Amino acid sequence: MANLGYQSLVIALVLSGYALVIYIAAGRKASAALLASAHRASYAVFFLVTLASAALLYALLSRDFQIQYVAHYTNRSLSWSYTLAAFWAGQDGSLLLWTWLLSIFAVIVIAGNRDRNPELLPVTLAVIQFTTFFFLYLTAFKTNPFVRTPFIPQDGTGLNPLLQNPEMIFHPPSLYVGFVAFTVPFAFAIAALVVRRFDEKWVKSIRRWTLFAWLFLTIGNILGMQWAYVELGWGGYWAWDPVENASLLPWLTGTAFLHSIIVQERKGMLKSWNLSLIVITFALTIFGTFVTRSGLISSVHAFGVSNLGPLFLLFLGTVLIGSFFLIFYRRGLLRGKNQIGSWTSKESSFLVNNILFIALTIGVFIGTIFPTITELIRNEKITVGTDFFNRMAAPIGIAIFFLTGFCALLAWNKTSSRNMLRSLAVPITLVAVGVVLLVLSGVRAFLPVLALAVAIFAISATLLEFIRGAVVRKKTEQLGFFRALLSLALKNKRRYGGYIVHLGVLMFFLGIIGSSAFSLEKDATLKKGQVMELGGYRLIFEKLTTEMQIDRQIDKAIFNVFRGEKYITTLKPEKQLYENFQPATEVAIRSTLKEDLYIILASYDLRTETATVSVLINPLMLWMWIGGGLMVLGTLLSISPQRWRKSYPNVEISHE
Amino acid sequence: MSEITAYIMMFLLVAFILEPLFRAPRQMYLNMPHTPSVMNEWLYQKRVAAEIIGDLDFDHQTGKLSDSDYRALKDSQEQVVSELDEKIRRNTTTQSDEMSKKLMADIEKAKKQLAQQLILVCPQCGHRMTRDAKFCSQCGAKLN
Repeated sequence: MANLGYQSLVIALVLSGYALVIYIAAGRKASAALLASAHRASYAVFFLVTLASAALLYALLSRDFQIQYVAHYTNRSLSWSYTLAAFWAGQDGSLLLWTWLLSIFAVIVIAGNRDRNPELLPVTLAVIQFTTFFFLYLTAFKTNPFVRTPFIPQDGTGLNPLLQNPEMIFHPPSLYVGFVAFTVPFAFAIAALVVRRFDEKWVKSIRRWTLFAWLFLTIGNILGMQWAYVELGWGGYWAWDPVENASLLPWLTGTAFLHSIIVQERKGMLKSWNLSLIVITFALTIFGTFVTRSGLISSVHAFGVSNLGPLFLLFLGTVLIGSFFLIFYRRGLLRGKNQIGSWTSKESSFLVNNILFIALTIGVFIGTIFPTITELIRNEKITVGTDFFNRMAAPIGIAIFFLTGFCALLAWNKTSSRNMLRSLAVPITLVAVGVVLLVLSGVRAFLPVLALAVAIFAISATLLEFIRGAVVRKKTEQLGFFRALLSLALKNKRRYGGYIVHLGVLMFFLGIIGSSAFSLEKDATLKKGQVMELGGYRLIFEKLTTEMQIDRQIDKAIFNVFRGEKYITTLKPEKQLYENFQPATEVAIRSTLKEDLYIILASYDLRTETATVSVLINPLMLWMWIGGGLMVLGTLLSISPQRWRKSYPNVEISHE
Repeated sequence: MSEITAYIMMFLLVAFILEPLFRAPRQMYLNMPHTPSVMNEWLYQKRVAAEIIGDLDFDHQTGKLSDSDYRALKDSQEQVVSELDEKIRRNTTTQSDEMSKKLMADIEKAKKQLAQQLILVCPQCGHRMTRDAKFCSQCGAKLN
């Protein structure tokens, strides 16, 4: 099985090189025969990488401990679902997954663009195969997942217990799908530069693929936060860890791109800016994999020191220099004609959005690579703490969230000032009431009040946009209010999909505010029967229990939770000790829309029946996950096909 | 055994990939005559302009645009659309003019060629044929 897997990878490498060369030749000669042959090579690469992945999966499931990777990441007691997760638990497997996804996307691009973008296809696929070639080279010669052990061990080491969490089955693959999918818009961008075609179909293809990648990156990041919140047991969800940052960076530039591409569509402006954004986004996805694998930056996520650093830098350098040279070379074609007419328009809010997102990207990027820079210059690693990131991100973040809501009040082209004042009335009133209530209830700190005021403003402005649209639609189509709301969203999926994402983002913002500004924490060591109180909750420590399972010992501290005299629930934070002596903490959480009660069992003594716990109250946390769900929903709505609106009778309607 | 299977697999794979190279090698993948890209660009711009007008209507209805701003912006957009319409119309007519001229020339040329080839006349029925005919295609009489 190992042989089959490895040989498939080597043959796939050769064929991907063949495809790369033949695609370039096909593009130069416009030859159908060459193109067909290159397509078939792409199919063959997909087939072979699938074969290799199946071989690895089979080896994992059958516990073929002869293979080092299997012995390292599984053991006999691991359940089948976590065995699946072991596929991407290590560097070798995750790079194979990366390659496999890329080979799938190549096939999808061929199938989807034969008729739609025939001129772009050879170059697009040449870029995809170039990337595939690089990753196949890594998996075949640098990180071969099929390396054998010198002797066959009785049992494997097993999967790190921290990774044994349902989120870990979905978090890494969805991030990978997001990362890898950004290769496609990048490839389309390069193809458009080479072929000199930036038309409607190109914009549509590139936008849809970017949305697809963005969607999975969003899902992956949110699942990662949830994993950190539930599994790592420190009460938070985001630590500005280099690898977290690495997955945030392409998300930021991708978000900027999704907004500024609209300005290009409407005004024919910002072409080279958009191309640069997509190039940078792709480069950041490669940077992300580089960060986790180079050993350059230490992180809880890193796969340990490896020798891939220089190769990644070489690839990254090629991508950046090549792409920006092309953009520079074609600058004449990319010049825009129009200008933004009015500053009170949606278009201009997109420009401000871009500035803010890029500022945040630069801030996060510098913070992430700062230790490396200082090491180069002063020969010592100086890490910037979370404090730097929080201080940097808070004002930019608040401005972005403000804009998220404010843009809903703006019209395209221009907003009449008197009308703007009128539409500001409701949100401003709500903000005023909210701020007064907050101050009366004792919240005096500036930043939390500001953040909440922005949240109230932005959420009410966005909801108002839905209501106003529905009212118009109710009048024109003679529908009930909710039918009107639904038909409004379905009639312009792009716009309302976007607004639903905005609502999701703002609910997410509520979660951030609640958990960062209003969180309560208390540590205590309790004897059996003792009581502790926090934020209106009364926790009675009932007892400690011990339970043996096949591969681990689980110790639980049982708490009965009361609010005043009323019993609410029983929470059982755990400590687990695996047979390979790896410990894991399972926190206990009670979530409501108002707040999360979160208990971490820090330490305990079975003999004296004492437990040391940290108890946290994180207000509004649940809104974060609801917001995440809305973001996914809105993106799905926005990505689904939409015909051109038939609002102007003189214009022919093209059907997609 | 498994080695033989591997070789057969390899052979099939290579054959699968190289097969297209032995088919019609001179064919282009862009064989469909594409509308000139400038035309596509105008049609695209026109659809975008229509989209913008749709948004203007909507923004006006939802009360973000005052009547006067709405009127002014809509006028300028409609101006854009009519300019594009004009460009598209002119381009289509010149194109069809050029095409019909070329077509007429081709027909004339073909007629001349045909006339040159038509030099055999059937002695029985007077039907005209090309030089290489062995029998009359009209009456079937044997020709010299």
